[in-house]
Amino acid sequence: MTRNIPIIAVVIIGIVTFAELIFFTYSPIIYDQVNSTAETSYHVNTEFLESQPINSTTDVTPLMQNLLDLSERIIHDIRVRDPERTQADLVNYNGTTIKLENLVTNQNMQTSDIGKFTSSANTQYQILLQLEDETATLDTLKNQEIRYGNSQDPNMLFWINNQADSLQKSLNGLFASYVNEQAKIQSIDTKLGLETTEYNQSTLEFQNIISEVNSFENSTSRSENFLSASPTPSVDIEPTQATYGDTFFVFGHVGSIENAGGVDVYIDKILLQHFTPDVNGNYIGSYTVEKIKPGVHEFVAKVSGINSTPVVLDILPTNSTTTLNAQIDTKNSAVICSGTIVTNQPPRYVPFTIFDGDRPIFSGITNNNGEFNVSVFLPPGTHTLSAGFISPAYPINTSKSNPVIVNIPTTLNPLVGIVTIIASILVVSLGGAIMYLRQKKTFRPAMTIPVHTPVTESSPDTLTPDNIWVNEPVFSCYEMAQETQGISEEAYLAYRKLVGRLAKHHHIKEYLTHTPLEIVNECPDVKERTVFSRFVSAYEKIRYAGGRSAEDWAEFRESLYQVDNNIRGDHD
Amino acid sequence: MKKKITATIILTGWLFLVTIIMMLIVSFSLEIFFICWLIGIVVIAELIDTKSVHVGYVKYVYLQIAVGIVVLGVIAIQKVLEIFAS
Repeated sequence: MTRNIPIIAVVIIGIVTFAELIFFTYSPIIYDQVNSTAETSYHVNTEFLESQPINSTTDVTPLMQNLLDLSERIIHDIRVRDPERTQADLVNYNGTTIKLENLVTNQNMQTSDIGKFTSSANTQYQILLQLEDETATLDTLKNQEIRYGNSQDPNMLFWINNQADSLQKSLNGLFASYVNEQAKIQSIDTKLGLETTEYNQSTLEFQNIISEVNSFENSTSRSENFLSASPTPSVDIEPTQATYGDTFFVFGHVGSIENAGGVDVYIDKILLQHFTPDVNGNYIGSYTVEKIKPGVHEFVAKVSGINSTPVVLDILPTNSTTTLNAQIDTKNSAVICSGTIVTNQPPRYVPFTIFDGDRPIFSGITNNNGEFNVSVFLPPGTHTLSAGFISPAYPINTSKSNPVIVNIPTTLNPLVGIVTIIASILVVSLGGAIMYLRQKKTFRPAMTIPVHTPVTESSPDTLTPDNIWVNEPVFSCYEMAQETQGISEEAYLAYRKLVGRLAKHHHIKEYLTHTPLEIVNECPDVKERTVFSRFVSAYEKIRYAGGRSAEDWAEFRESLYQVDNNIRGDHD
Repeated sequence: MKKKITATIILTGWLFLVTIIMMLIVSFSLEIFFICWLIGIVVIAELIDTKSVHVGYVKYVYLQIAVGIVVLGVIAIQKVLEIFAS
């Protein structure tokens, strides 16, 4: 039982060790991530805090400490429905942490009066933006009215007045909405005592604009224009000249043709669009100059086979500038080419080409801002890259960037590098394992230990040092060797025989290369070591010290006899 | 006490210590645990080894260490692949 105590202790330690590993198998953190909200020392672990909903200042504090080094703004949302807890949190936070200059406190005010105030103010802002657009259009219509009033074109005057009428109705509606929102603001102002002088002032300005618009309506004699509409369709363009990115309007009147299903507008005898006129026979469409060749383009409206008087739109070409920036992406062995095409307005989705010298190597389309960013794969070497815009389909003149010289270094295929590293590690580890085993001689062939095996009789003349000791006791072999060999060789053979027997018995594997003294020291049995030590002394005296006296002979024979007897019982 | 028992106790104690340290730093890595085991068994094998007389079980300890070196290489390959993947 006493012998088993260490083993039992080892087993217990092992079981305890692996039982502890179960904790790591279940979760790398000892406490429960989901349900544990108790304040423990583990709550200083910010990773844990960031993974669960934060519900107290105690939890927020270490997080805020962790954020102290941030240069960005810190947003702290406060629950307005729990003001007492919020106040307690802020007091606690203010007392335990460093003051943060960039702390931003947001309050949830969606249902509050401030929220309503903000919503009404935003609505008024949107109304003002719409007012700005529609008054600009109304100004354009005023100019058109003057132009066509002078030319006595009844169709266009009819169209203009109808458009102006629609705009005036729309503006009056906008003003009504604006006044409605202003009433809401005013009520909140009365309740909370807010400063809303600017809002009231803007209402007065809005009212002045509406008065001016209504005076424009009163000044026109629209009914006369209605009566003078021409029976033929009409089309017009405003403006008559445009460059890339400009917007032009195509508008007109179908005339007094009955059962008209609509009007087709052609550009250069190609159908542009089919319009369905409104109840007054008007139609209008707006277009942006993008992919259209520069030059004069003819517009004609056609209703039931009757063509209008053609009008022309002159598309003027605009200059462009192309830039290119090239950077080598060493990670992906590519060149990142980025740049822009600049015209009077940002060109949308226009084609660009990247050249290596004069050879195009990549073609693509810009984004809606005229920018491009692409990766181009190039062979190792020096390349002169440039980007250009070359397309006759756009009213944009050709441009080319300044050349950018890039030098692609010769790089190995990353896969080859990875495979090489893996193979190297594998070879080194396997080689290391084999070297270790070889150093420890675990693979060394087993030593051949002389054994006693019965052999047939042979004459003394045929005995050799290799087979002389095979089947005889050492002492008798010594007697035979003494007759056939010199005394030194006899002593050596006797020593070899005894050492082989000792090595076999005590697993001394390197007995052939060890000195007799080393063999003596490695012999674990005290009695055998004593006897063998005496034999070694006598043997070395004869073998190496030239001992040839009768005393030397007697001592050697006696020690040999003792050793032989001592280990005779061992079988090889 | 026999060397075999002593070596086993020391190796187990070493691994127990490694486990405790990993628990204290709240980070358990099987690879590091394996490497610590390999270091421990190499040290023990060197200490119980003798110059000329080899005990039979030591041969198997050497074989375990050799296999451990190969596994160490596999772990190194795995880490290299993780680095390239990132």
